[in-house]
Amino acid sequence: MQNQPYEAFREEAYELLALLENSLMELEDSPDNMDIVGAVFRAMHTIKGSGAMFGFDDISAFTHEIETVFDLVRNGALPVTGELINLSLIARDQIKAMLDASCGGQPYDEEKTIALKTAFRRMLPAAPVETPVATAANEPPPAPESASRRTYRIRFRPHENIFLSGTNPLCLLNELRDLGKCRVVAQLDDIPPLDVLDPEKVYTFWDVILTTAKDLDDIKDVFIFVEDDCELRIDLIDDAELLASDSSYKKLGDILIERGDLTSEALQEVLKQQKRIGQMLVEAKAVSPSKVAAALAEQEHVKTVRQQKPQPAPEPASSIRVPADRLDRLVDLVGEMVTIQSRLSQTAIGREDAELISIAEEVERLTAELRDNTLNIRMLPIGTTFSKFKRLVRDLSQDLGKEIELTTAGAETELDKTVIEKLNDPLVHIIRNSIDHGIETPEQREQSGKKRQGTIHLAAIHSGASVIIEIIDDGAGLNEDAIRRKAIEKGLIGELDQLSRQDLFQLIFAAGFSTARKVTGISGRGVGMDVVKRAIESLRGAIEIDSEPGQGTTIRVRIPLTLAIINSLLVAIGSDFFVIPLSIVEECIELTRAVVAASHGRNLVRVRDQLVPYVNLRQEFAIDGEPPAIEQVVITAVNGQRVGFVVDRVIGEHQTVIKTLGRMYRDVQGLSGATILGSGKVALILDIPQLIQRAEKNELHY
Amino acid sequence: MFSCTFIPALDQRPAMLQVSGEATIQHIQQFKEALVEGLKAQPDLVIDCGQVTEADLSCLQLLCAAHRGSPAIKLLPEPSSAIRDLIEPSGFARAEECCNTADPRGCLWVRAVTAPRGEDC
Repeated sequence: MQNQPYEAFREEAYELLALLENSLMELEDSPDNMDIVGAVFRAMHTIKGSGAMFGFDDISAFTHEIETVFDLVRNGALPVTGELINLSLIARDQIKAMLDASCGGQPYDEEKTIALKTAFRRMLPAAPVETPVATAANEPPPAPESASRRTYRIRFRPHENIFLSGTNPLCLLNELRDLGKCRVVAQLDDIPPLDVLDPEKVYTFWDVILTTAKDLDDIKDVFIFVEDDCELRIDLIDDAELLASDSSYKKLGDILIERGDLTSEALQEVLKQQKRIGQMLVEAKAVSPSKVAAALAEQEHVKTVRQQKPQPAPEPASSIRVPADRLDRLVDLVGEMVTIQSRLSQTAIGREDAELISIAEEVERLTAELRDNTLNIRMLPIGTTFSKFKRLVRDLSQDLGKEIELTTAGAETELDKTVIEKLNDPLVHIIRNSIDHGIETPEQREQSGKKRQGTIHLAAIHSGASVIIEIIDDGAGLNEDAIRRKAIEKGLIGELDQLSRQDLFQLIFAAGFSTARKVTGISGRGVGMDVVKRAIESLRGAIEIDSEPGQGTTIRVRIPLTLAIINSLLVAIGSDFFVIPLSIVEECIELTRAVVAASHGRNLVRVRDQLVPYVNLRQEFAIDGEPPAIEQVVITAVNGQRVGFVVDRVIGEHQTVIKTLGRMYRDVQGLSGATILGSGKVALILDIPQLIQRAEKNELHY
Repeated sequence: MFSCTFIPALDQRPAMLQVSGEATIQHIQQFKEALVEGLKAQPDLVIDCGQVTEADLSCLQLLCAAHRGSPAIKLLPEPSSAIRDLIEPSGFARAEECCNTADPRGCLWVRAVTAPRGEDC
């Protein structure tokens, strides 16, 4: 318990550092944006402050140096330069290293800290204190745009015939509303009785109370086209800066109460007899009710604006922090619940007890909802991963002297937390490849008539129960000839083999395959794409490549939404049960003895005039016993390749809670896990891609 | 498209003016004439703006003017959203008294937005 605030600080700091990285990179794109400078400053300030509070003195002291520099940038005393951004990014990494070190990670490089400190100090002007003071004394400070909000009273009286010029006064009011908080009171006193009213004239005029950070000129601009067709009066009635020197003083009654000369009850008594000033004025016919309404609106508006001032910006939607392992435990429990529920349903049906069946159905409905909600909690937008890649692209392209821009789409797409974590490494690898091999140098690009700057586009979209992530670059594309040559050299294909483009591209996922002529520090060692493919498949995903020479390469990764509970197809061979993820199942067809006999020992079946190879699972798993006369083939599609799996019976759709196999079975091929059925029996989850690979290998041996 | 239909009083039901379509400056003269005729026949005319698809300042002004001379008029049932969505931004709603002190029920527009659908106010 003791280190809980500690933990809280670290988590906060990691978040702030991620934010800082983003802000710094945004700042690189728009160095004049003072809002971002402010954000950077605040992030540094918070890290420094809470760091000191929890005893991270080294971090606090280090951050202080950076904060000082950004304070000057914020005040306009220092410009935002590329050097500053680079240095700040390195400093950010250093703070992260210091944080990592504090929770038992690698010790950080203290000399680097000192070097960075000095570098930041060097950025400070010789006499940093005097500079701002001197400028302040010489010229009045420029009116800050966002800091001060002023309240204006606007009386807008359009000429009677303004409709004839095609102007809609209500549009002007809407434009005012865009400037800030706005209250509009229409003055209707001048509207004549119906019989004398000319309905095409405007009799209405408006009193508007507007609180805005914009200048008087911006308000005047709204009316610029009707200047000659209206009477316009704009008065400043409340100013943030004038607040301090507010000249109004307490009311007489309040002073008397404070001095003890009058009790508040007595004051209330007297006040009750008194009519409100507005009412008195209306009764005396001194002003019309709408004028009073407008004045009251002004009073109320200024009051609410003043009350709002000390409040900070509203907090974003509230959320709570929960340790990830607690969530995992919850998902486990829900998994147990789903299993026991299917058992309950089965028992209920077996008993033929109507009451029990209806209870079981209710439990089934609730469990399904519970499952969906629980899995939803673990969903995170993929955007956090995307922003990490921004930094990767920036640093790598600088190292390689390339100009590359990373664009993203669908950052809000949600995926299971564990999936996102496991997806990080493969994606990093793919992006590295795109930067290193895909995108050409600016000179090469210019020669082939492309823009100097290359683009890598990262997009995520939902597609049914999976998410598709695309990594698209506009580089040179894959070199088909080089891949073919290399494949022949490695003995993966024969000299005369004719492969489709898709099949050829799939070869780069083979182990030890790299067409890069030289190995760089970034990629080209050939330990890449096979690992990527393996990682994606372990997430039960698939990877596809498409490439146009000279146009670029598209890599498409398809990942299921969650890893914990999946929809699957339950099948049986003899007395054993197996499940196949439903997402890859295309259809089921029958396999008769006659068909088997007709294919002359080749495991091929004809599906709508297409030959599909199949794997006999009974043989594959060496299960004893006679197969039934009519077997079933489950046709699956992985990476665009159709393969059938022969089983005895197809039982139906099944909610599968994935349980990992024990350590003993870690190296078993063809199985990715297990699940417990309603009857209490265990069913094994088939690893279809691996089974296909095994079958292909066996085929080669013959 | 704009149309105004006057439905004379029948038994218990008061006379009604059904307004539909674009109650905007282009058709406002027609609207006014129908309103003047209708009010001549029935001072507590019920104006049905439920079918109005578009409205502008001139429409609000006209109804205000009608309310001034004939405080008993009613907007029933609730005007369509084309009108309701105009009341607040145009500043026509009155929290305090209406300019028409002869109508004890107060501002036409406040009633128009706060009255439950179809209920007399």
